[in-house]
Amino acid sequence: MASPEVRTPKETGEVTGKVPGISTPASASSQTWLLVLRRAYVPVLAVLLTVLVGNWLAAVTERNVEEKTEQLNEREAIASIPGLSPADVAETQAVLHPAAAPVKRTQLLYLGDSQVFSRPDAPPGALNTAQWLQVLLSRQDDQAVRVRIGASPGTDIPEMLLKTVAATEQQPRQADIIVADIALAELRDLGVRSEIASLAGAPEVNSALRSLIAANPDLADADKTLGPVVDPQEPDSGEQKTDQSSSGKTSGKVEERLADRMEDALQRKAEGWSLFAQRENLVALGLLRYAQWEHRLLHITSDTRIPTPTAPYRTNLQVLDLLIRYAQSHNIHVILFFGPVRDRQPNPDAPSDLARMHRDVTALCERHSVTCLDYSHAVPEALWADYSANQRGAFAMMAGQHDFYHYTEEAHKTLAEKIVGDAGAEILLWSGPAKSNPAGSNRARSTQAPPAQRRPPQTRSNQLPVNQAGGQQ
Amino acid sequence: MNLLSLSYLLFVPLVWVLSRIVRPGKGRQLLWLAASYFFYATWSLKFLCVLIVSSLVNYALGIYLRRNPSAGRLWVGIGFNVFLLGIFKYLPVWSAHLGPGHLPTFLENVILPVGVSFWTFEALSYLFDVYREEELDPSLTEFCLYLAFWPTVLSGPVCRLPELLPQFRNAEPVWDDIREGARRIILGLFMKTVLSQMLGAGMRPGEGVDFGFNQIARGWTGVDVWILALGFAFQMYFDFAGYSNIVIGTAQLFGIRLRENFRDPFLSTSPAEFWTRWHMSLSSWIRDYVFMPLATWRPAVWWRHASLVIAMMLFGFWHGADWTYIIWGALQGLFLVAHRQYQQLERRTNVRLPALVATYAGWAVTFCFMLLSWVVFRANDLAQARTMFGALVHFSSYKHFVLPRNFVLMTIVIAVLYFVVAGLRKLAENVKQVPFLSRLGWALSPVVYSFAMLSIVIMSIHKAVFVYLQF
Repeated sequence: MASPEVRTPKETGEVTGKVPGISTPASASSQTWLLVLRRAYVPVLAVLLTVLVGNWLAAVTERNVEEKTEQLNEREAIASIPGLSPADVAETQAVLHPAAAPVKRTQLLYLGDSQVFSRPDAPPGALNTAQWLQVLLSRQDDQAVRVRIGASPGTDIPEMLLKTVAATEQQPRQADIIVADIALAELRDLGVRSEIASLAGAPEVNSALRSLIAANPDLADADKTLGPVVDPQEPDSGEQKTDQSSSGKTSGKVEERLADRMEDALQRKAEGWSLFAQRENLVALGLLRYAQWEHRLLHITSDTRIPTPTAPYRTNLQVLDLLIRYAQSHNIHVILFFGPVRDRQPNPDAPSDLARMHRDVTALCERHSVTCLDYSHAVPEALWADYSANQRGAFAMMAGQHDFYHYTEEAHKTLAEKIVGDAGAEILLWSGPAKSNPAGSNRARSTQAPPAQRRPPQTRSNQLPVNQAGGQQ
Repeated sequence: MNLLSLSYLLFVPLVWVLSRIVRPGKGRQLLWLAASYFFYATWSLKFLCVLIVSSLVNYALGIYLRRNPSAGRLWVGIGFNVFLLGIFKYLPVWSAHLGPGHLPTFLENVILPVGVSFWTFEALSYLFDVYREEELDPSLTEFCLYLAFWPTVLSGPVCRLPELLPQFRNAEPVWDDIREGARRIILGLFMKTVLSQMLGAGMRPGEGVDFGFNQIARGWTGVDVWILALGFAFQMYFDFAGYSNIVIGTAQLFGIRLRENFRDPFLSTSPAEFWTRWHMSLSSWIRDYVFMPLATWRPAVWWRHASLVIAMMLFGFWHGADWTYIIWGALQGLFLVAHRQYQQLERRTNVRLPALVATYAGWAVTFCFMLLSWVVFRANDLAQARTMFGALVHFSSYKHFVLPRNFVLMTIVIAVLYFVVAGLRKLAENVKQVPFLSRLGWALSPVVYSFAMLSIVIMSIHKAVFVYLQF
């Protein structure tokens, strides 16, 4: 075997591995050792440091994640809340674990962001709005509706649409009724997280989204936003511009799969090293630390005003329009409501932005004859939460400040009661035909903009007429 | 197999060890050729077939041309390679524009073999060199290896046979090659996996250059356009220069020195200088094989300028059959012409700005122009480019921005850091003269490499794609 040092430094005239300022020792063997040491110093120490620091970072991250998981697990244990019967408890558990519950009832997909389930004050096992909604509806008809939580923190409208389409296209179908909490905070961004974007990878979901986009060219901004989700650039394919997942042009992918499989196997092996396994958590932790520093440096507090840029706001509205069109073309009933807003100033949501949202969303609901409820003021000041002085985790930088998005457990119950009071009868009415109609069988023919021959808009105490929306702020 | 994959990190040492077993010469060339074909086959066996056919035909064309180096024979070679590019690179795009049913099915199903534009240009440069009667006599193995050499086969740098041939025959790595090769691979991975990825995809959903161009349908403000232009320019730079570092580093591990592709392009003080620092291998190819022959065709000054614009438009067209690329090329050509005119004016009037002012003004004008030209290059269509330029001249739009604040901040920080690091590098060259500081730098370098490697591992959660793979 030929050595890499076939040419010695003398022969090549190069100063290989030489550290400036260090004189050369006299003896030949010590000279060789010194050369080896000099050459090994940088790579060996760099690798050693990488391994040590990597392991330490992984351990810190792992501890952090374990703490959070424990907190979540505590929450999942349903406490013996006064007034809950064993049947109620079973219903609430089914909301948390819908996969275990049989799909015989009409499926109600409850969409929203962290407002739906966050209970900062709650003892372990306290119920969220979706669970209370399940309990209250089951008490009226215990075989009518199965509530499923489709909410996750920071869910914006494109993510809501993806969740809706995924739930609808699945067999058996998991969305016959949609109840969606519309919050201004979620109309500011347009990003779709990779774990939600991956829903569009399922062929039936992808095809449904493509048809939806193709059938609604008038919603061009929404289409543009969804485009990259439906047509993600194929990493490593080298065919990005020419082979946008059209079925005929798949040459190169069959062969590539072998390389992919090899790479996947190596990645799995690499995850044996804790740093590899903790990469995602580490990035999340890094972002969190960044946010904490950002808050500290820029003096950002929970009541700092957050602007609502027009471009993403308008696009979110278009996506909401698309969501309603999709739902209606698949015989899915939609109920939108404006999520509670804390009525104190200063407030991160500008009154003018809230008024604009009320006006635009209500107009959208009227156009599509969709029930639109206003719960902006449903939660009184006393039932809003504040961040504790010892706040930890993601909101540690908000310690001791007012929480403008999350409320107490009692408020969750209040909100669920309001929904049942305003729309319960309607939901139970809708659940009738759906039960007789096997889930998943009521496929629609077209996903195009619906004609104006729908039922007249609902009139409810909480439903906001278009011209009064702004006046409520 | 992607250059960013773990498989590649195993593949390279494996080939390296095998290379140490096999003696330099024919045996090692065959080993490298086998490794290169295996590497390319992991993308697609069909792609490999196209590459092999192109290699054989071009080799035969070379022999044919060497026997009688006539323009007619050269045109046969050019015609073959242009035909190859037309079929595999441009036809799929035109087919997509035309829609289904306009072309025969077998033509509609043609897809772009990765790297075809790079190795076709390498083949063309070989034919040009043979036509110019350069002393080139590669064996078939050497020529096939030249086109398929695995570090360069995907996206260049566009190599020349006279540079590689002697190295294929005698290359033997010394310790400095290995050290420098490893350093450049780490640097390249850091540039691509960390910096380019952060700019392109952002740190969170709803951020990043791709989001700004693809998902914000309209409503960009002037600030947004500048930030997106800045972000894309640096994303491209870190992406392609990072890729080039990995490729050059890999080749150097085997004792092969490839030509540089980037040399601090954003420090250029004129467009002419910029094109000697950005994608140097392709820009010099265009200069040597397109601009020079065109410009010397007619002596008129206007023709030399026209040649410049034509050459740069061809440069743009090389990226793809899209008006945005062609207009981007034309803009570059016009800017180069404007710069020449300015130089002539200076000479004629003998009025010159003070050196320092000229340097900074030249840098500012060049940098801003390059940023804005990237908007045309990156825009999804001309309408988008027009809308974005509209925002630039709409001065009331500068009061706010729609891009996420974090992304704006990150882009500015990365751009500033680029210039700080460039400055520090210049400083470091002087520091090398001071033994204590030099020793301190050497002692601390493991910390720097360790930081880079940790960042690469952590950021490798994202499946990264090299932008230039699509060209």
